[in-house]
Amino acid sequence: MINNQIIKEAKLGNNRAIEKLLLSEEDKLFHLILKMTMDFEDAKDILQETFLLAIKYLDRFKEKSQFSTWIYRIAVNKTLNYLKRKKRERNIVINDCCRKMYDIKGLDNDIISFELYKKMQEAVYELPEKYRLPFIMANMENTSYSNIATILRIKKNTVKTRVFRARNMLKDALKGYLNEM
Amino acid sequence: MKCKEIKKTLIDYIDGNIDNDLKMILKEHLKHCKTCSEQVKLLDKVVEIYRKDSPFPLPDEMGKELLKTVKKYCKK
Repeated sequence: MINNQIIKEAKLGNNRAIEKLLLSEEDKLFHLILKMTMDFEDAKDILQETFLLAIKYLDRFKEKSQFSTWIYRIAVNKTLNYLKRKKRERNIVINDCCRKMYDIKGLDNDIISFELYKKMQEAVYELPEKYRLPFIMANMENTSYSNIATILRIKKNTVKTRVFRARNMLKDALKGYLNEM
Repeated sequence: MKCKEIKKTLIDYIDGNIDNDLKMILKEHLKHCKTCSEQVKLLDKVVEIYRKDSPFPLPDEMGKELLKTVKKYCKK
């Protein structure tokens, strides 16, 4: 559990406190970046850049917001910049990433078929960023609309609407598959 | 309630953020309206499927590599 003392120590340059602070957000950040990029190596690199930037500018964290909100903002900006660059090389094949994710999580046909899993990841990947980002965040543990609104600097109702629209777009994109379930 | 009005409340219904009175009205409507109940069913399925792999933590090997880099950076 991250408390003010750890943040204070981290700001003073205590390496253990810094590690503890970063590790507390590591998995959630990776989940978000991976789902946005659909590339393991790139997701790890973006997470690393996020961490190093957070260490560098930790003294600028004013503690008015939660540490998680602050570091999420860094990760989101880094991810969006990456996606902007990647747009130019739109030919991203997410098949390999889907296979790896499916295998790592130990999913199988009893839980979900690979075909449907891949279709879902592709459909999410195809969503415009303004819908994809809040949708992914809203489906993570302990992430409320208010949190997302603070991180993305948009209104809570806008988050709500975008998540709902994303759901509707996915429903339409996967109609044939969902009806078979 | 008509389907058009129902659609406006679906966001909150699916998120479980509506008061009991409205929930009852909605449930009653869904019992009799195939179109709306089908919509709700499909919207629920989208999230159910999407969450099958969640949470997706950083794989161990990558975590170790990352920690090494962080430690090295902190020493500077």
